[in-house]
Amino acid sequence: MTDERAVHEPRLEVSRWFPSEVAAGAELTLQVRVTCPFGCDLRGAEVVVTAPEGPPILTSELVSSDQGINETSEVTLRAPSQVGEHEWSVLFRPQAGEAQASQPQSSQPQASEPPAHAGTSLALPFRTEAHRTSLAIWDVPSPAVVGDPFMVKIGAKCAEECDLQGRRIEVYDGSGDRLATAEFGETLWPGSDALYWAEVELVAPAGEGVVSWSVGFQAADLELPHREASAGFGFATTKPPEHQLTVEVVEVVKGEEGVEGGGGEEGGQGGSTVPVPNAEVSLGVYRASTDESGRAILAVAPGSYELLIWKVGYEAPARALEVSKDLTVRVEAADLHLSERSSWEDD
Amino acid sequence: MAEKPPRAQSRREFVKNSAVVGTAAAVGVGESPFSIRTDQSQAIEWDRRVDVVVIGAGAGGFAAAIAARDQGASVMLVEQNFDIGGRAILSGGACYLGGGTWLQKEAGIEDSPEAVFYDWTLQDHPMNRYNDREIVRTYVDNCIATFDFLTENGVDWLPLGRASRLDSVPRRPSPRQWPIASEVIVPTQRGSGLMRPLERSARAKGVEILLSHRMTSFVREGPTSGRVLGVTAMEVDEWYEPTGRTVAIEARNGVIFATGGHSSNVNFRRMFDPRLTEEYQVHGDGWTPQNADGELAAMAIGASLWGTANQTNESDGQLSKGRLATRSNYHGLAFTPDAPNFFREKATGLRVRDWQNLILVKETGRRFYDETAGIRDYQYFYAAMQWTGDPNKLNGGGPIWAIFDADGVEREGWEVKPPYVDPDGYFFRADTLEQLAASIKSKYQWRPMPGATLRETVERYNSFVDSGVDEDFQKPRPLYKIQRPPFYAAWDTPCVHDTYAGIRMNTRAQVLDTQGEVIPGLYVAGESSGGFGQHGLGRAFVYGRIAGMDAAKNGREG
Repeated sequence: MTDERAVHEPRLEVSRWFPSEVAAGAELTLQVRVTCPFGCDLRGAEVVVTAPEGPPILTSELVSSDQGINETSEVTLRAPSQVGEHEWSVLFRPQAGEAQASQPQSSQPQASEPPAHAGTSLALPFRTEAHRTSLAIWDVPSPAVVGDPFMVKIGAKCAEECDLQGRRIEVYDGSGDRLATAEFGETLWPGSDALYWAEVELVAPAGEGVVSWSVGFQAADLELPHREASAGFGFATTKPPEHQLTVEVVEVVKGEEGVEGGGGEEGGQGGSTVPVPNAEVSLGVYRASTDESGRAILAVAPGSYELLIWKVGYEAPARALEVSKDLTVRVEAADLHLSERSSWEDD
Repeated sequence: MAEKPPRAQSRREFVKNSAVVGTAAAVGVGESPFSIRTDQSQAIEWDRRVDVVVIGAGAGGFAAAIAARDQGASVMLVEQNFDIGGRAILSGGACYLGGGTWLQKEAGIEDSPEAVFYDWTLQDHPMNRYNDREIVRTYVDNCIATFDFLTENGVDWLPLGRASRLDSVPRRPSPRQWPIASEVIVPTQRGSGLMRPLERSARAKGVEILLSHRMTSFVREGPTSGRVLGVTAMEVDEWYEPTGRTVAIEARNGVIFATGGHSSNVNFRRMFDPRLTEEYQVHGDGWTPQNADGELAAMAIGASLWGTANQTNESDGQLSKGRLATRSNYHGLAFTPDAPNFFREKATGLRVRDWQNLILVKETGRRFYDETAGIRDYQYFYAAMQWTGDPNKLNGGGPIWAIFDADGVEREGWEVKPPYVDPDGYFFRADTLEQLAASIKSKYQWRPMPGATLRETVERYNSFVDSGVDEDFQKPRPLYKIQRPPFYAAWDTPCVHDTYAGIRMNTRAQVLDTQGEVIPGLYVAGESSGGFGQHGLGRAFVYGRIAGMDAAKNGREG
């Protein structure tokens, strides 16, 4: 720079948002803006991104210019893979004569030579975080039979969608004792973005009741740092089933209203009955839903239970049931005629 | 073109003396298109002159326009949407119109105006308790004539069904759906059977309909004195954005506004209930917003509110538990992808068959109520609107999200993709619950949902399924765990529906000011009027017809 040349002091900033917290090793998008207060076109000049040690991470040219606002294109960088605080520097260092600054003719008419531009820098502090992981546990049978083996599925997901194939999960009981371990397979759970999963065999405890177990995922041996994850799951246990309970859910249709579509049979109250399919039957911890014939079959242990029926739009009284042999019970459900009763359907 | 009169000349003189100006864009309506005009001393160059101007092409507006035209008045009907119909065309079409109509007589149903009056002033239901009985009495006395009027203008009625729960006898007739599918708007709703025949009749009788124009002010002689002389309006595009064109329409006999109420105007509705902050969306807003234009313009020239207790009666149509995964999620309304306004609605939403298939959580990821509560359970709404615990958001309860899993989707038979769901802020999917919480990005979810909280909530709920007892909110026998990925979060924030309070009117539908004096030349009908908390169409048709007849016959004297 000669004494005769004017020196412009450009402003350096990040034009695309740079996050203060990122996942370790994650891709970052950076775009740098250099604004000359005198409206100079600085295309061709370079911007350099450096870390405290090592060679420059990136060198990028200013490729666009609009009334003194000069920008690089959007460039992709990779965050450090170590967790912690980092600070990168963005440097604008036009070398003498290199940046072909062209100045609008209207400003600074006294300058006869192309103006020089001062170098400037910008600090980009950010923090890298270990990848978050999380778990799902599904297809847990409930109830499980005391002392019997059963299968559950366990999946883990890295928020950055890292490959978790071959990674291990562990299942613990309520007191923290390890019950099982399993390795994730290579295929993702169907319909998921990046859920690696395994099927695990477990054995139900000997006592009856509601069980609460947990799953842990360490992910310590992955290339990038990952946080551990844990999640709970539960199930009920029962004695082995000895009896078959058949529940028939029917609706009594009054004679004068008639039965459309057939399928009716004589009821006990002078009307006929029609089966109620897709009603949820629950007997203590046992569950089933009725089929097209209105029947649900449950294999149950002997005992005293409360039998409940649930179907939207129907009402059926709860009843106590003593099961000591194979049984068939019929439950009459009343259609509440919700759609006809609700004037809101007409709104 | 007329020259501008000197400032000293009165508006009335000016209007009398000046010719109608045929150019558009002659009137400035202030910096903001919705600013309130209080300075009425400046001259207006009218673009058009008619006898009666009607604002809003819904039930009240069409009844008013046709009734005025039947009296020989020239009528212009102004509507902000690109099509007629207002909320009425989205409705089921059932009208509270009884008292001994021919349809009731045909069915052998005995009814009388006295019986209707008795039913609609009963103290035991909040829909009736707070009504202005003078307004109800005149409604009652005009039900039969209004029903005949609708019949004469082409409405084809279905046989009467059973009595509505607010009526002692069947008196809520519904029309047959309009036979031209492309004009129906919502195929499951019969409102088209009212509005399309009325549109045909109005056009045949010579009512002029100006679509895509939003009223911006009522022009009164003095700021809060003198006659209402006309309206200003601006043209809007399909997103209701101003195009820049404005129009001023002189109304020699009167202006009737039937603008549909205020439910979509957050600031206005919070006058009645400060809890109803911006997260509460409004039924059918993607068709035509209830933005309080009529109320604001009327109040700016001195009009009074009336019957405000009706707006806070916390019953019936004010709020709905709604459909899932779409913005304006009224439970009874599903737009199909071929609806002409679907570009604004964006999704049909998911209808819930069984609320056992999901849990409902607040923006914090916590449950707050038994999910099987009814779609009109106000105890549920109170809980949904309870303070979330955030000192930075004191009013409103924040968004409510339905959380469910792949099994729930299968049981409901939902298709969890567009156009059934709106992934732009109203529907999210993820592999795990923590990821689901992190994925929820909505302008109404003002802080991130904590993933650990959502997982704890679901684990606790799942334990209730095993134990059979919901220890937190007493959901009867929780049936299904939420466990099988993927997991879903779908918008289920309560949806605002009816407007039940508005501008004070007398039994001639004339608007009254805060002194109880008539504002000459200004009439109101439908949900923008106060004093009658009836849900739906009956009161809108009755008072629209009264307003139209009165403006045409007596408007110049008033």
